[in-house]
Amino acid sequence: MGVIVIGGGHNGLVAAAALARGGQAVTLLEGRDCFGGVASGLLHDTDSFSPEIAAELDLASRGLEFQEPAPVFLPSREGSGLLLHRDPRRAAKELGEDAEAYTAWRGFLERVRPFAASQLNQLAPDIRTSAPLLPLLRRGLALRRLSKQDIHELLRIGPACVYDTLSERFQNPLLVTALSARALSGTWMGPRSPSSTATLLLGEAQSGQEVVGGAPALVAALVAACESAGVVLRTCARVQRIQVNQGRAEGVTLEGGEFLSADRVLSCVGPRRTLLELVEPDSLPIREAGQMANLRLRGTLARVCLELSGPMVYACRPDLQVTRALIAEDPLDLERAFDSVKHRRMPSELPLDIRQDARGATVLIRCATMELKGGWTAARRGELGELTLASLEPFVPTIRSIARVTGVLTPADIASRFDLEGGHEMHGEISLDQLGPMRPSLTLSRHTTPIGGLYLGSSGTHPGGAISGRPGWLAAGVLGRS
Amino acid sequence: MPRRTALFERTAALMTSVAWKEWAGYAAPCNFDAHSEREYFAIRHSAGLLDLSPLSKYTVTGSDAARYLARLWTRDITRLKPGRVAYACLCDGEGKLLDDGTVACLDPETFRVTSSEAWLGWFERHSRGFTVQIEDCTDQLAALALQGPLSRKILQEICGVDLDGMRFFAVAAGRIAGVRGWISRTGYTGDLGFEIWIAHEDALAVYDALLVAGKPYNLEPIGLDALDVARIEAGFVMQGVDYISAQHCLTEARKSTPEDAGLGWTVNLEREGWIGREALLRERAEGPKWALVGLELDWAEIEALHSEYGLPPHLGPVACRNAVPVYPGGGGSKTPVGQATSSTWSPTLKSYLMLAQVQRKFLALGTELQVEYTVEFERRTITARVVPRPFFDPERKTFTPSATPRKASQ
Repeated sequence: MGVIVIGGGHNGLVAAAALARGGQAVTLLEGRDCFGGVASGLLHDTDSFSPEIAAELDLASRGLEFQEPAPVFLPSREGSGLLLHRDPRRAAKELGEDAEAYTAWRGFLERVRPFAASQLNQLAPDIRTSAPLLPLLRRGLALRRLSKQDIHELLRIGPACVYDTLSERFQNPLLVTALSARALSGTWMGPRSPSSTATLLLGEAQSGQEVVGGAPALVAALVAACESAGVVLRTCARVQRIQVNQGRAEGVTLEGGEFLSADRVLSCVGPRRTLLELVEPDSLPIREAGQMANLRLRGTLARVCLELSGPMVYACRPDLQVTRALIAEDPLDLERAFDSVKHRRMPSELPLDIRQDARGATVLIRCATMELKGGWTAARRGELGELTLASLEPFVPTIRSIARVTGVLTPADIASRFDLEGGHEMHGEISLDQLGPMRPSLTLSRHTTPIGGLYLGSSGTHPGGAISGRPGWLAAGVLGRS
Repeated sequence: MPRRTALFERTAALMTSVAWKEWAGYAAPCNFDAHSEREYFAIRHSAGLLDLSPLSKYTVTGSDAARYLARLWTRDITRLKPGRVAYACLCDGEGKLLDDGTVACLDPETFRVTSSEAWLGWFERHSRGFTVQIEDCTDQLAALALQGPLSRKILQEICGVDLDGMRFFAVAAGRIAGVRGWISRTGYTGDLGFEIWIAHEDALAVYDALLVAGKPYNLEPIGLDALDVARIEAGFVMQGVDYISAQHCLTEARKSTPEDAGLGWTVNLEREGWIGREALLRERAEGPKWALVGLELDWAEIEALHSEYGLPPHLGPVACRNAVPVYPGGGGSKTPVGQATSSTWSPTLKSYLMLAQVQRKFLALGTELQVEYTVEFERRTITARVVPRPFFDPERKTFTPSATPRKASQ
């Protein structure tokens, strides 16, 4: 008996380690042949991983270190591009006339952060009953600590689009582009979509230092933490069914037929897959079945790997060697890219999110729609690789001579390789109606389900986010207290 | 504009009246003459033939069909054997009635579902995860109801299925007037009767063959007015009249659970995994609030009330679907304790009958209540007694000659 955690992504690993350290007998089942989920070869930013969770799980003793995130370089056709540091003091020289506004913006974000963090680091508020007025009041107080001007500004810009919010502050379109791109990952929005500022603020509130060694180092530390806490770790153990009897989860059946019994099951695969595919359809009330059927999880992510035979030289700044780059010169490039998502077509030019070292580069494309008209064929996959080179060429003229496309993952490939329903890396789009007490739905946001002993802990539940570990941590807390 | 069923040209030609009404989007005859009396007596003394085609009809197939239907309907369809029909309720997630209808098991992976209203959207929405195909066959499948004490004899003349051995709520495939179809021993009259399910294009031929075969037995084509009187005598509730489908209710108070509508017997709360169960378990724990009762009005009081106004007692020509308030007996209280939703004079029982939803403390047989009764635009009350429902329940309704030959008494 004990607890079974389904899904060995970052949230599953965090939850398994937390539960095992709390004294539970935990078995972690991963369907793929490696742990880490989207942190093992898809997403590369680790700056949203919660340092509090790292401390609670004592990941430092497993070799985990944090550092200031590397600056992002945005090349331009004219001028010398923008090397953007997160720290405003280091960014000032590059930013020129925007330096003061950027310092003010960072200051505002730092003041808002405690309020936003208070939403992210605890359970979503229960807004269906009147009982928990106190926690709601406490959250209100966190807001109250802000100055009047900050509250007004928060209320003014929260529902607005990032394009307006950022353009009224900054002159340099490269700066606006860099900050917008961050806000839009995991959403189905462009910079001119309403409420995108709210997702920008949430994203900023989650981000801080990044893990030294990136996602692979984080996954290794989490696996080590699980091992030392006594978690039984299994790969290639794909769950086919969560067995429910008399309204209670009593174990799982793996593909191949093996049955594992458990007192409780924590699913860190997406909530929709958990409830609509892993559970027999007659075990779930129609309210939750309907909520999950209506959950939006339209993936927009593709990945291209480049093998490099020489350094990537940006024409606007030939002397500069960077590890992070963003190819997009204007926020409206992002909007046009979103247009192609919206209209289900191939983008004509690609904004690119690049992580590179001496040997190669991993390029994330956030405007490739899972719902492409005609589907993702092999020809379309090739087209995506070619488009990547073509989009880089104006900025890195030598790209075709130094780079070879080695791996293209279309959204459909990502969906199957990483077991992501809809190809969505967070199991549910980030949008105001799918956040907080509505993530993934009003009655499922507090990690419990109508099925006794079955809990939800993927990034499809509150508070969502990329590689943050928070949903798994909160779900483990709920399960541990049950 | 209502649509025409497969039988429109024939029924229109047979009607001497122009009494059409809309039934689920189709034109349906209310009666064939100026009055439905002849049709009513055909149901009770020979047989009546009704075009049932507007009924919503679905074919559900697939390896999960039974499990899927058991999730949607209040009865355990997984235990329904091939050749049997179940009458059941459709509830929403809060256990409130959406509709009632029948599920017929044609073979272990093929079911025929009927309902008063169209539910394809609901059926499809809740089919996720089940291996089933749901086809709306309302337009492709015509249906005829042949109801009355002589219906078996008439139908036997043109069909090869052994009707003497066909039990109540059985269904069988077979040929009727040379046409492939299904016959079920079901109906909405509380009498011996059959329902015949055939392809749209075959409907006229079968209808005509039944009229010819039935002529020596005084078979009559019947309309909805005669049917309405018969179904009240049989104590059957009607969706939209005796209870309102939860999806059409603007307030919670108007919604009904199966128990409220007298259909609690179709519900098995021990069984898991069906829509509405959790809410109905709560209802059972808290105690249901309403009950459906049959009322018989005091005829002497009706006569006396009319005579106060210098009138002979007056009976409506058809069953009445205007709900009237029901008050506690004794006449002291002016606070309604329920409502009578269907009422009719029963020509067979010679009494005035009502179906009423009342608070459960008034459900005992013999309980006296007061129901609103209007004479000369003045609202008065008449004493009504709770009587057994069905009001009219002949043995022939369920009797199967060749299955139980010793009990034959009719």
